[in-house]
Amino acid sequence: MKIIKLLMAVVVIALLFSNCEYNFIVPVEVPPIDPGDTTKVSFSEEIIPIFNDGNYCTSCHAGNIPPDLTPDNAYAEINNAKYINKETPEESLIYTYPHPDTDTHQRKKYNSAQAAKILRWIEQGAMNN
Amino acid sequence: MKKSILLLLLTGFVCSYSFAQEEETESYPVTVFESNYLVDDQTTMVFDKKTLGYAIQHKFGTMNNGISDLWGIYGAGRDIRLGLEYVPVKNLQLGIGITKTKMYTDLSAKYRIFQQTDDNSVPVSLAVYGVLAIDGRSDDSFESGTVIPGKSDTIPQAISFTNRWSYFSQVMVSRKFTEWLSVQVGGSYTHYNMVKMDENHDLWGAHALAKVKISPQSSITFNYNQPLKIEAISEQPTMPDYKPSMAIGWQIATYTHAFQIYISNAPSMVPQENMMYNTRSFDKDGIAIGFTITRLWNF
Ligand code: HEC
Repeated sequence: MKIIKLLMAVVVIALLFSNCEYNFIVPVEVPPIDPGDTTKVSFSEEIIPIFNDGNYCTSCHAGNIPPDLTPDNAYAEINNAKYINKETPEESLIYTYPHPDTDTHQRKKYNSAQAAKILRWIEQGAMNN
Repeated sequence: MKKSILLLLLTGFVCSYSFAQEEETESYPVTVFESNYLVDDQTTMVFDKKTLGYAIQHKFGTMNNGISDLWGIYGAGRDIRLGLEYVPVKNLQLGIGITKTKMYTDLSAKYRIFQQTDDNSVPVSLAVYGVLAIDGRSDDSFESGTVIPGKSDTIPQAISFTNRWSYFSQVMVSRKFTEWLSVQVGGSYTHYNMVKMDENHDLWGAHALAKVKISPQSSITFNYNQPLKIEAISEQPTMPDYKPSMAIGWQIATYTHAFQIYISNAPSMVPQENMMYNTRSFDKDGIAIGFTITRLWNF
């Protein structure tokens, strides 16, 4: 009887492990940036949509949970030393906190293309353009 | 291959168990650990048949901001897990849990194959443990939201339900050496069905737990989990940086309750996540306060 139960347990555990797959997540293409390229990332046309399209960030960050990332308030909210570090743009909280490779902010992360765009925008002076 | 090794190991235990059965002596089982949780790991302990256990686990933010956020307690909380465990037949624990990190839902099974006895006819307790966790985040959390079955494949497929699965299986051996000292060691295998391009799917690990009793109800607890960087099974040219995790804690246990508070650098409470994705070291930037509260009900 004991043996039967034991075998049952073995079967249950074996079943749990019977579905090993070896998939890789396909990353979003990050367009390579040509160093001579001086086109500015536009806050209103390229950054706001990251926050707002499909309520990607604004489903939560719309007033109650800082930072407020709604189109009308986002710039005023993040244009300060807490979120943006103009000296070392890679250390800006708005870039690092939801970055795909950090372990902060598990709720939602940028994909690599979005992260690259945010970084470039800060590197160019984080302007309200 | 790995599956068959696991099965072989398990059947090996079945055989040795049937031998142990034949000796009929007056011996009593020893309680090596009072709770099925030690810090955030599982012990060989399985509670009595027809008992339901409820676990609340919490990890606060890291302690590096000091008093400004009361060592992480007011900070952004790192992880929360709610778990239920039930023992339908003697020595078999089935569990289910939900975790904030990656919105994991985990299903687990633990079987205690034998238990240490007071006359040392069985010198150690031995258990096997398996966890299946399902990543519950939306598809847009995974970069392009598509996967390829191998690195050289070119046709991306939409993420399927089983892609979100990950496994953790562990063999653990424990012994109560003296009235005050209990130790457990273990080996584990972690597998993720879907990983990023520069990560591995498989990871082996070594584990150690210890409990030092300081009064009838309270103990000092330790755990240590070491991911093993085995080049032979690495799919990557450079080995990902797996960080060991450890904890020091204090446990107060009664028959139906266990309260544990600890300091740990493990990011989560889901074992495969802690093995595969710990980026923090056991230093002032990496440690956080956490607790585990368990409550048992008999039916
Ligand atoms: C599901 C809700 C949710 C979504 C969606 C979300 N966040 Fe958050 N975010 C939070 C919460 C809650 C916090 C508070 C801290 C924590 O728990 O991590 C936070 C914290 C932050 C912080 C740190 C704030 C601080 O003052 O420390 C930043 C920066 C941030 N979020 C940016 C973003 C961005 C950018 C997006 C979109 C990619 C996003 N968040 C999407 C819930 C969300």
